[in-house]
Amino acid sequence: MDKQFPLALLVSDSTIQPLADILQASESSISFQTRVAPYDQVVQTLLDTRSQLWQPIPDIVVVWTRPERVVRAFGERMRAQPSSIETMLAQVEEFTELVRLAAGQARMVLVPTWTSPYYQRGMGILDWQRDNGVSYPLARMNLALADAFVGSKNIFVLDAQRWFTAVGKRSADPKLWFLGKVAYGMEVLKYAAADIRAAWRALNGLTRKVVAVDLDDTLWGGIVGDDENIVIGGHDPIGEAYAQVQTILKTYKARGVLLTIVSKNQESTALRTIREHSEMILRPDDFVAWRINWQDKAENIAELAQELKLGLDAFVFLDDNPVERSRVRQALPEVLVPELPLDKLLLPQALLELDYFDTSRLTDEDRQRADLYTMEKQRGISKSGAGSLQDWLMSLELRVRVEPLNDSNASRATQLLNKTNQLNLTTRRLSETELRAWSDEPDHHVLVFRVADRFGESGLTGLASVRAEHETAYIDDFVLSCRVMGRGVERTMLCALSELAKRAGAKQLVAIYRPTGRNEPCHEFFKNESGMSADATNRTFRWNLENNYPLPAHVQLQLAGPSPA
Amino acid sequence: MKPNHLERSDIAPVVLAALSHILSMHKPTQQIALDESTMLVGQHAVLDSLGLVLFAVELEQHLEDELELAIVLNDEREMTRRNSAFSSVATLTDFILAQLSNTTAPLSHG
Repeated sequence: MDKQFPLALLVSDSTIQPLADILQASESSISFQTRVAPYDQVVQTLLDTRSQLWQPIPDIVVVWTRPERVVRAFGERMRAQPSSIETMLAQVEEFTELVRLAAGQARMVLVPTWTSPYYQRGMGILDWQRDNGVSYPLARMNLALADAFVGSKNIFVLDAQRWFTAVGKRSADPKLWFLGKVAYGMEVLKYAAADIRAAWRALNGLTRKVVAVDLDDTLWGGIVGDDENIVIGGHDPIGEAYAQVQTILKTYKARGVLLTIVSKNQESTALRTIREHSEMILRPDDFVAWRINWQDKAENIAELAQELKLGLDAFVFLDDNPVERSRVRQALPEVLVPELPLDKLLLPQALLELDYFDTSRLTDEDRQRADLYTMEKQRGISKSGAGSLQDWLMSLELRVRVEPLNDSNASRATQLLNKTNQLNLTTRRLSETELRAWSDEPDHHVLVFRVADRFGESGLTGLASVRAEHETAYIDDFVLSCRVMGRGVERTMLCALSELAKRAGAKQLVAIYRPTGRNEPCHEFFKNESGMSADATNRTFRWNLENNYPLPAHVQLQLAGPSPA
Repeated sequence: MKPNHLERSDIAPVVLAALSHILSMHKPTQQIALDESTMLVGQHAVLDSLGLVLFAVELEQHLEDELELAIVLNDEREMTRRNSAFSSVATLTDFILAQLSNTTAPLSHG
């Protein structure tokens, strides 16, 4: 994965420079450039988005405040002065409005929740009373903070309480406060930095998509085939831990992560156990693919990447064996291989702490991803049974539905734009707000493509945009999910784009390929299959719009919504 | 607490470890070789004023965690005094040893 240097602006009413320092750390694959707003000038900074601090536009803005500073009525409550919940919530609203306004000047805004240090006992047994306590209004204020940003496309609330809980007593050190106005302990800042990096990965489609899991002593206790009984579930602490491991993996699957198996076992024995063991939580249907054999695991993972048409940097490999982990790390550095604890009771915790599966949206496609890959597998079986490629394509009964970008598809379209690497012409990454703004410009058009066939719906899997300038329509984005590559959808997209460009008055359609090291499949398509003429660099491709771009014979094209031209 | 058995060789590694920890976060882009001659404040210092505060608090925690020593280091006057105990790793180690041998000694010599 290429190293990234996004720009972060930190806005706080405490000394936040130490967080900036940690974010700049170079050992991570993401090393932020940072800007720190002047100490305790939160309101001024959020209001004055024309200042130098906001130029160029930051990728991420972190607005981390102390509750008693932002919500004055809460400060009064801390001093046992009369103040109403309603006043506090009104002041929360004032703050969230400021954040919302500033969010127009950033790709993403992160707002940590308000916290209270452990030594703040508030009103003791009265602390959770509405009219007297401190904990009660703090909880209400945090809920109001979260509610205020529901529906926002680029403002996210981070759970700072989790960082405090993880660090314990040293989460807030009064000495740091009095000596340097540092409100949070260094360990808290490290947790914060990790979540900020995870947020950046989520925004930019750097999320891991596949878990490749070992079986013996990873998915269950013991060695299947050797041990009389493998350990899973039941009234046994280790068995319960493994049951939880499986539940966690099933939860990841429900979030859109694909589960695969890479394990050295007898395939038939292992699959029989997965299918028949009464305590198994994961069953064969939960896995989209597997390599259960005695071959090198790195080779097996590489094969799975090919089978699933995903890059190696989409994979997380889980294995209890440090030798296997080391081998995969060495052979496939793109694969994420987390350390796993020797103590099996700590295995569930290690899996829950993984922060590489975060996404900035959770769509229906995410929830159904495993099913979509299973359908893809059935297509593959059908392909092997068909005669020629054309016969197979005809047998698919492929339907492609074209829609202009709109409220209902923008979220998934943005996700596709930011997650797709291989069939991606320019690899332009935009937030939903940016994509919508771009689409609203005169002579800009964004189309999205839904693909279905006789095996089922593949969902919104394509996006393309054009920008008309005089008599030329430039393709700025041409993105197709690897799930539907190689079935003529690419040419269908060009057909739709050429019609749109023609109606916009263009005489030619131009695609300029921008290599990233990962999008060679897109280059191959434009060179070999698009039918467009290439220039001498073999990177600019043109279609003369006096000629109709042919729709593939096996595709049924459906248009939805108003004509985009 | 006055653990008489503690030697300079016990204290200096803890000071260096705390310094290394803080620098890894506070100056993550710099690779700095650390030893007892490393200057903490003044010319050629590895820490700025904020870094010094972070380091003082970090070192207190390290001394407590690793050697069970409860020593107060975060005296702003001491940090900013000429010829401060915080001048270098060596002077700070001396200062901690002096604190151990005389728990009633004032932190600031000014």
